[in-house]
Amino acid sequence: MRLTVKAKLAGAFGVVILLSAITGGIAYVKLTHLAETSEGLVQRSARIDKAGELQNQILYQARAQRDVIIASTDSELRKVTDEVKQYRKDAIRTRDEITASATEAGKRLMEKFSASYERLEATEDQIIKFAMLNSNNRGAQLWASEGAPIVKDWNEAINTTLAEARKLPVSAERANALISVLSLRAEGEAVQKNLGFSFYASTLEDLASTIKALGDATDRLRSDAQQSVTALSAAGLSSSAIVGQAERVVKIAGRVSDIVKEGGNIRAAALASTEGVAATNAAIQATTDYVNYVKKAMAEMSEQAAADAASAKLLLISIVIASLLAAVASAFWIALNISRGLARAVGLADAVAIGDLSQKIDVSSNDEIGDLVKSLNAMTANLNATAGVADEIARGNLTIEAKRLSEKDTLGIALEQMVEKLRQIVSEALTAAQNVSAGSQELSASAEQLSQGATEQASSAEEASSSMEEMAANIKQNAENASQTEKIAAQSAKDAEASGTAVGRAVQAMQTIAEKITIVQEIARQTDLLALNAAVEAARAGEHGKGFAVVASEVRKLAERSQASATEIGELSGETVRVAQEAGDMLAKLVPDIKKTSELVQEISSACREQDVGSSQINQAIQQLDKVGQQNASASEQVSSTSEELASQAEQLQSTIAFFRIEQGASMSHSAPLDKAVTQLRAKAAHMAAVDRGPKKQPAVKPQRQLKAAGGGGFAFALGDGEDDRDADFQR
Amino acid sequence: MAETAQYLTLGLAGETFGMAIRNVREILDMRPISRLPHAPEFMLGMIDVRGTGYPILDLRLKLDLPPVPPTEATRIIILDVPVAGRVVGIGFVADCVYEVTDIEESSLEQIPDVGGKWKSDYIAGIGRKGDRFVIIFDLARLMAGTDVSADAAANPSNDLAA
Repeated sequence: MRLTVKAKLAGAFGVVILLSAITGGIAYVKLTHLAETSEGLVQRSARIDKAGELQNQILYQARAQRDVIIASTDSELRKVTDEVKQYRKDAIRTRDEITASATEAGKRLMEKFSASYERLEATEDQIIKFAMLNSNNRGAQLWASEGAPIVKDWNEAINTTLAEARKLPVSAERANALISVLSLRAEGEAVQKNLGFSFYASTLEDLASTIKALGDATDRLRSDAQQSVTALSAAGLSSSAIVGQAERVVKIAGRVSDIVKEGGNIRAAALASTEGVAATNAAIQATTDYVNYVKKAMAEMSEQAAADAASAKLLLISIVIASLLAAVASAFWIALNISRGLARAVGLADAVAIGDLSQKIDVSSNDEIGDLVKSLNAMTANLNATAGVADEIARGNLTIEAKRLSEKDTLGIALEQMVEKLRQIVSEALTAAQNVSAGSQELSASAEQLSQGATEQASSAEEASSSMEEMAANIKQNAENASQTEKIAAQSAKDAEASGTAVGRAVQAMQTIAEKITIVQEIARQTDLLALNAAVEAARAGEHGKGFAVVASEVRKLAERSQASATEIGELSGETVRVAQEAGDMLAKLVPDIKKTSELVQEISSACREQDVGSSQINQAIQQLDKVGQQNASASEQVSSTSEELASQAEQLQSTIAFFRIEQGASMSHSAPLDKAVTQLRAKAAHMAAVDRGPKKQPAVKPQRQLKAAGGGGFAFALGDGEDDRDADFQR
Repeated sequence: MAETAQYLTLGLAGETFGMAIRNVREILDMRPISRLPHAPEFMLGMIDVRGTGYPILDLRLKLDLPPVPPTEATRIIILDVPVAGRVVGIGFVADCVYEVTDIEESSLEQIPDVGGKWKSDYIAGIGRKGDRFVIIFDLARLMAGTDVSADAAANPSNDLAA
């Protein structure tokens, strides 16, 4: 069975995770339980609080009962009864709240409380009813309001009767009357005293005895009043006022005692101190029972919760320890397995890294480590195969086929490409050797052409030199002509300016003439006028003026003629001025043109000078050309020696490339043409050397030219000593 | 031999007019004329000739011709004009003055008759000079039209005729 590292890890982690999950589950359940318990405790304590509140409300009611008994006025009574109603409502609400959230046992206890509370309410109702009677207070009020004036009247009546009796002379009758009146006063005071006692009686017995005493006192007062009538009448005094007042006192005392007799407050106090207290205590006892019951339940719950927590703690600790042990054991086992396998794999990889491909490991485990070891073994095997191929290539065997193991096998691909490239390079090198031989043939042909070219160059240079001489002469002539033209142009400009000035003077003179002619015209006109006037005078003179008239007419004719001539001269001179001005304008226009011409001619002459310099530079260039011709000749020799060198290099290349075997017997067929090419190259080189040395004797003419150049201090062309057929083409 | 009289001929708007030489005192060039306020339109003003002042009239305006600006040929003719029995020196402005010439009295023609009356009393007669007409002024009548004087108009031409 194959147990991979993945599976081992998954198993170990699975166990640990399972145990952790169980721990978590238990903890969750227990915590939830605890939370519920604490929630219950909180609710119960809330109920205890409510029960306390209930007790308080009952106590408030008890206090209100006392308040009701004490209250003296109706408004106070009403206020207190309202308070009682409010307390009752609150108590009922609190009870209902407790009952709503209580357990079954709690509800039973609350029912008991309800029963006792109803009893309490009944008792309370009765107490309030008695208290509402408020007997002693009402009696006191009646007595204060109605009894006080009656008592006052009674005292006055007694006092009046007494005063009257004292006025009587001393006798037995007077004494009897005084005694009876004084006893009446004493009886009245006894009635008042007993009434006061009845208001403040604290018990029913007390009240009954006081009321009885009061009844006795009133009876006595009435009988004494009846008896006093005889005594008073015997003394001669009126008894009607005393008897009337006594009746009123008796009557009001009867009414007050009727009210006080009820004893509402006393009854209420008695009821409150007996049944009221008992009912209150019963109700408080019921709530206390409920509180005790709840406290007991809470204690039980907390004990239960503590027990649960202890057991859960124990369970959790044991599970955690178990999962810890399982995790440690599995981790130790897995780590040991992996490190052992990896150590062996690392040993093999180290060996491969330092180039030792002979190592091999046995596969022991059936997991990823085992796979790794297997792969490493395969790698060393493949590397061994590749090394074999490289070894063959090193021996020069290019016929071997290098095969790539995959598309990503860079070493295999490189080897494959290397073998291919080497084959290509070797075959290309062979082709190149052939090309070298062909090239050396072309080289020899080129050398021949080069020598021919040199000869042609010499003759061309000669032609060029003769042309240059003519050109130089032309340029010089041009320059001379240009400078002359320049001078003439300058002169022309000066002359034109002078002409302009002359024309200006002529114009001025003509204008002067025109002015003078005007004067002549004016004179002629005046003369005409004078002649006319003379004619007039002559005519007025009649016959004597005839001769004078003739003279005047002659003078007038002359004046007319001179005027006509003057007009003509004026017109002519005006025309002349106009023409002269035109001439002046034309001349003024001419001057800048002539100046421009002079400038242009100056430019031409400077251009000619530059051309002169240019021609000398061309001469130098031709000299340079001649030198190059000589260098070409020596270069031809160089080429021939280089061809020999090239041939020997080609031979060496051939022998070097022979190391590689591309295919069987191929190397032999290539060597033959190469040899042939080398031989040809050599022959060509020899031929070229011969051709180059032949023309070398001809340049004996050239030194003559060079000597001439040296003699002239510059380059001079021998134009006279040799004409060729092209010289005829160069003409001016 | 026919009797001739001498006239001074002058040009006005292209036509030739004549004046008896007896009336002509002097011919002058056009010169600056001092203007007179409230003068009639044809009276240009006054000029001074050797210490004597003469009123100057424009003949063109006098004859209801359009006025023209003075030229080189414009002349002032000082005349002795009989006005209301006395002779007054008056200057006339003419376009030009031609000459002193003889015109036969016999060749003078009367004013052409058109069968009606027209403003022709300033004309003394129409003479000929070559093929041109010369209109002879009757100065007294010419000036009489100006003066609006009944007596002057009554016997105007007696002095002139003499």
